[in-house]
Amino acid sequence: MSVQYLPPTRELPPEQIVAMRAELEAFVAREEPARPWWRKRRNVTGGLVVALIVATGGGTAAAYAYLHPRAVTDKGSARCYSEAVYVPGAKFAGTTVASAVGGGNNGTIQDALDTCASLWQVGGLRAGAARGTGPVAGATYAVPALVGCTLPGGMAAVFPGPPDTCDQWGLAPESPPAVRAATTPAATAATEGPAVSSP
Amino acid sequence: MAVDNGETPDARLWARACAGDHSAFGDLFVRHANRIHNYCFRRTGSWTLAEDATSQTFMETWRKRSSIAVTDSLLPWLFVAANNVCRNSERASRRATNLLVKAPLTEHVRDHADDVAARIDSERQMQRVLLALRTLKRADQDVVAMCDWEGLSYDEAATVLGVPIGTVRSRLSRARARLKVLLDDEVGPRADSHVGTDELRGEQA
Repeated sequence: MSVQYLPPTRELPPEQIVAMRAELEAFVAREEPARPWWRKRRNVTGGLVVALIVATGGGTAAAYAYLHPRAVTDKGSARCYSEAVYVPGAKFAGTTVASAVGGGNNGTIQDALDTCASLWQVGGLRAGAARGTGPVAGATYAVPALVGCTLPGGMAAVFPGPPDTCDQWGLAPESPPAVRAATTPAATAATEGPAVSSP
Repeated sequence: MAVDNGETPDARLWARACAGDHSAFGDLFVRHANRIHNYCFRRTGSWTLAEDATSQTFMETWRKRSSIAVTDSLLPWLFVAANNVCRNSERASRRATNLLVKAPLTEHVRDHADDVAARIDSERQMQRVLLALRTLKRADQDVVAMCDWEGLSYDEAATVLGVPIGTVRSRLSRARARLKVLLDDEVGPRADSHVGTDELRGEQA
């Protein structure tokens, strides 16, 4: 953009950019990692719940309340993430899947974990890819460890990563728990057979 | 450590940075440093102040990260942070003006004479523009700087400034008309003294 009454632009010397970058990264490293407010709040709640467990003699119900698992309520679509990163409001790496039925209407996705696993298996999703890709005919790919979380709006979100990924990003784990171990192509083929697309 | 090849969208780098990948924020800095440096110069009229303000802009953006939702480019958010940083540095520089005037120009002695002359010329030119700009309301100044000088769309400016798109339009229209008069008075009715937004109209129509 050049506006003619403005003086010409100048560029910072490359060595200065390198030095400034190093200074900036050191600053970022010193800063406390960003934590969403609901996580901070939950940690406080966590302390209270632990106290409650001690006071009441403990129990499954109290532990359940602390983990806050939530059932998926919006089953019209699900998100399959290609990396374990969740930032509210930002574009995500991965793809949204929907189950198509006749008449141009969307059906429901009963098992988001399985749907996303199928996508990984046929090569429709690659680690870190910005968006989904077309499946590769005849090929079978490794499926990373997957975990299902429930987004604030009630939609399922399946991330590659360990079971605590939901908690790491301040998301509720899916209820009932949706966790799947990593599988290699051979193991996948042996245990599950060919990938089946959603109806 | 991932290497920024210029193809990774800002939103992805921002997400990685927020997830603890400091180098991703470094990549964002390298991508936008020159743009912010020049923007800060245009807001302060001083290359020296602009250098400091550039780093501070990124630091300020990082501090405010929990309230920033990057859906496309980080640049609009950086401009907003730069607006605040430049206002503060400008206030501080006014307090230290006397000292700066008396201080020896040791930094400049090491530069080539032509480069020093170019810096000074551009600073003088920018100060004239800023003199006109600062007669506008602060909100109007920001809209001119972000939309006319940096090419943000009305939509982008409205989002990061938190105002309706119609407000951006009206502020810009009012500011352009006022600036045109002021700059014509200042430098005379030259061919290059128009507000220079013709090229913008095409992309914002």
